Amino acid sequence: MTLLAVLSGVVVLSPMLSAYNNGIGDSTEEYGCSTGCHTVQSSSVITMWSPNATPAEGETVTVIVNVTGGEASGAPLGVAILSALATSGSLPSNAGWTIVSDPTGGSTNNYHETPTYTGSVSWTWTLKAPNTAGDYTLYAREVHGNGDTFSHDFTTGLVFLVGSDIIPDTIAVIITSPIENSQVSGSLTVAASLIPSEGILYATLSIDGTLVDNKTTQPFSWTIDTQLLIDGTHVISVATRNASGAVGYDETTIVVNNSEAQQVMLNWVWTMVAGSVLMIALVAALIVIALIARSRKMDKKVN
Amino acid sequence: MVSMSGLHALSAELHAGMLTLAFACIMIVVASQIVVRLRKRMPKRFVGWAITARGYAEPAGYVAAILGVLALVLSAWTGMYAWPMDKLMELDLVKNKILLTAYSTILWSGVIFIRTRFGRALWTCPYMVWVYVGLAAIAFGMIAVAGCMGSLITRGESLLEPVYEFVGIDIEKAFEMTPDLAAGITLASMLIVIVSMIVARWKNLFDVVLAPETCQKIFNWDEPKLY
Repeated sequence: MTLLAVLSGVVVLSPMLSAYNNGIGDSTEEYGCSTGCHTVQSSSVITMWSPNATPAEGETVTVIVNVTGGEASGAPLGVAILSALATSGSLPSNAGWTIVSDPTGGSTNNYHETPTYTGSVSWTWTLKAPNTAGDYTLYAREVHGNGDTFSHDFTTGLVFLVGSDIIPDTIAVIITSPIENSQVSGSLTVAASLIPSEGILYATLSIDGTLVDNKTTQPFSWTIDTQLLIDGTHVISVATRNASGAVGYDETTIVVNNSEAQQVMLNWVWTMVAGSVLMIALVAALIVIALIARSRKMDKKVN
Repeated sequence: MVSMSGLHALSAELHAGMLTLAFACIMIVVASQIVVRLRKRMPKRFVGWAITARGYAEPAGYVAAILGVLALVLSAWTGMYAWPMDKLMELDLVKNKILLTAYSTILWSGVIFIRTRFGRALWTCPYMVWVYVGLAAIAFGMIAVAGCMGSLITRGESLLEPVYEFVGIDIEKAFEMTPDLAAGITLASMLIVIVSMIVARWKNLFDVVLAPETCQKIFNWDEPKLY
């Protein structure tokens, strides 16, 4: 009866076995794990853009972040704009940006949240560009759920060329994904921002100096299978040239580690097989034991 | 157009509901059987209600279990397309959920096999009832935990978290066996299956028919009646 009561309790409680996380509210947030690492990528689509990618030093610019889809229907979802996809030093202010207003219009937080996400949001931040000329990248990250779930980074980044030091015959190439020295396995997306992006004749992707692909149109992103690479350190580079002869180049280092990922997957498959066969054996053995026990009782009764 | 994640949500709700109904029906039959067993000490009307309840609950549980397993397979299939497979496998919690769902599917299939093979007459043999109810309870427990893992993945939390803490299980860490241990368990399990088949053949268990006249004489449990 106790077992029955416990099981009945489980049945009654079944519809209540989920509840919304209440979010953390608008605040200033680094990229790191202060509210859960959110390491699993959401199925949402996140984009960001600005009408002015070449502001003067200290000029005000607007940054618009759009999020659509994902798993957070009816639950909280937040977006942070960041100056780096790193666990610290990722606030826009760390790169010299000043937030003039966030999507509420009255605050200056880099993280904004809705308590009930309904499938799409479009939020605008107004920022003052850094006072030092140079190229600066802003990123966006959406998060929902808690613990390991969910997030989606706009890893391509939005590149701003601040000030008047843009050399006309040079193309600024910035590999926005993957991050320098990141450990990767499986498929990997390489993304690069090219400024100016007009009139590009070609953008080549090379790994360890060997040409992998050549693109002439945007987006300048590639998906590569890291299982074709030996585990260890590799250099990814993007080189480009435009119609007026300007050239650009950037490179980043990655650390490929597929063997560990493959071993984890192999262990999981083994666990699945062993557990499944064990369940089948359990069912077969219990049925046979029950029938033998019944036969013995019947034999005793007959005798 | 309906998205795969929408279909997955639909089939997940369907299998959770059906299997909960199946388990609830099985527990109703168990409770009714106990009342009937103790009928001399029970009010006559109460015994009548129990007989009526088990008459409805028994076939309802069988049908719900079949539909629940079909919905479970559909849910697993739509789940594979709702999220990209490589993203699915990044999270230990999701891998654990898939494991539990697979194990539960096998156990529920065992429950359906027993009911199909022996019919309602299985309720006349207490040993088979223990196996039937025990398997259903374990299978339901597994699917309940798997469902709560789904809640943890999509909503961020579930009410079973205090239970995990109390028991000391970290469900967000992959349940993993080393290949050596897994191979040993697989071989031992296959051996158990083979030995079970040999014993069943030796004892002529493949031809066993459960019926009131083969069990009830000893235990005096009634055949459930359908009204």
